[in-house]
Amino acid sequence: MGGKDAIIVADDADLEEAAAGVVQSAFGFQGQKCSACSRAIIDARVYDPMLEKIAERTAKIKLGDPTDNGNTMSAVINDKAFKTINGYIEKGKAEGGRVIAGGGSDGEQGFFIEPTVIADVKAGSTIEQEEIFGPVLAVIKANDYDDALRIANDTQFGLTGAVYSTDEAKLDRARNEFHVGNLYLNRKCTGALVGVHPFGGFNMSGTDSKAGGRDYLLLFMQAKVSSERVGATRKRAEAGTAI
Amino acid sequence: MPTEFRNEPLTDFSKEENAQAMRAALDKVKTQLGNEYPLVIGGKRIKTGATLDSINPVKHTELVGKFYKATKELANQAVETAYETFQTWRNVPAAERAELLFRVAALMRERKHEFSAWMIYEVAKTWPEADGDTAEAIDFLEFYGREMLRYASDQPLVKITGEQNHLDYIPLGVGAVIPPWNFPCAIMAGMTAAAIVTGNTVVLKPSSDAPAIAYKFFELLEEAGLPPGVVNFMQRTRGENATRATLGKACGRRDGRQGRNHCRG
Repeated sequence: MGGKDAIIVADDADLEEAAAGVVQSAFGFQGQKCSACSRAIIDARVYDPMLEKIAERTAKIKLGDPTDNGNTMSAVINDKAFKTINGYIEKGKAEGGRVIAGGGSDGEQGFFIEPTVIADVKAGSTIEQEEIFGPVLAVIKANDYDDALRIANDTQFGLTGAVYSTDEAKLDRARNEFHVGNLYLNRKCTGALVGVHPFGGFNMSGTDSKAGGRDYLLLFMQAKVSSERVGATRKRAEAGTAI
Repeated sequence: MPTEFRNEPLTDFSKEENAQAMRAALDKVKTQLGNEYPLVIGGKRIKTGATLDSINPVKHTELVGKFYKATKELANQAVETAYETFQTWRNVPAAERAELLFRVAALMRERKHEFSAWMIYEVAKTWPEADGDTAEAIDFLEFYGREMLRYASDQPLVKITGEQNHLDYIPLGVGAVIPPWNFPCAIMAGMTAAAIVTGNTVVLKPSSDAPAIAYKFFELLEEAGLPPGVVNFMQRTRGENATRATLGKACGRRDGRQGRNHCRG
């Protein structure tokens, strides 16, 4: 179960679209989704403008009580999660990450953690590898598209992933090489629909049992085959007769 | 035959009538915060000596609900009850089991915003996130109901002369459903629905971070006519986080008999 889901932004991507997809996937329900984007892997050629766009959109998120529909993000689930997530933010900074949005938290009334974006995260470092399950996005710079795919696949998980690119060849390569159970092209990596996107992942993300798909009910049943020779005697008891 | 499957549409809260409906649901659910909830085994409501609090993540002081915790004995009893009920439930025709899911889906659709409101208070989902969760729960009910009808229909086998062959999909037995808190309506309802529509019986132990929404779903199953004992509602065993072990152990004894357990979580 779980994931360390990545969105790759290629150098030819529509950057506004990509930033919107990354922020929505990273912070929807406070990042507490198995499908949440916790890594944005960005081609070096568009890295700086993308950081700016991601930070801008993240700053617009309103944190508060969700009974008020004006708030677009809220508290994390419990005290344990609050501590673990804050621990990962500290770890991210200690390992050389640069906080470009959020970073703060307030546990006074409820378990509030700001939507946090940490840039310059190195491939292989703790917050690039471990599932945080909270509103923390690690941004990693890739040399090129090859490097981005390599970083994306270098994980023990394999649940969701997305690629933003306008180049058909890059999208085709992702379909072949990006090793996840649910791959999205030029759209966010959360929000699987029942029947439309049967949902489940590879490796430590699960057994690839696809919830909301045609194979799912087989997990709850076993097939029994009965074979009867035609022509053998087969009597039906009269109604009311004891057998 | 049911209509073709369609995903439940998401609610547009920029429309004032929809926002109004959600506010009304939030007000209604607010009056029910802090209620007590029993365990339910074979339809019987049971209270024990210990409770677990479900707290609103945005307000440490707001109690969403108080849940009686099971003991090991009660966990065993829940498994035994589910096993007894399996002997009849497995013989209920697949079409009837599917119909039950469709009735539950219809009821949930009528009270959609109430279900979302419970998640807004219990796990701090925003309106659209909660609405998506409820819509997904409805989708699972509608989808798995239709899937069961497909599996219950004649399955294609190669024909040979001199023999009549049939392939039937039969249930496994008693299942422990231990869903996570992050899609506390959708995943909880989806796993439970899949287990019962295929003819299994269930001990449902929701996440201790989201038991209220699960209890509301359980009530919906009862209202739709699910026989007692097909789904049994539990909270975790007292003192230790041993529900998994207890349920697993209790079920292990079934090896070799029809109805041996198959725990998933």
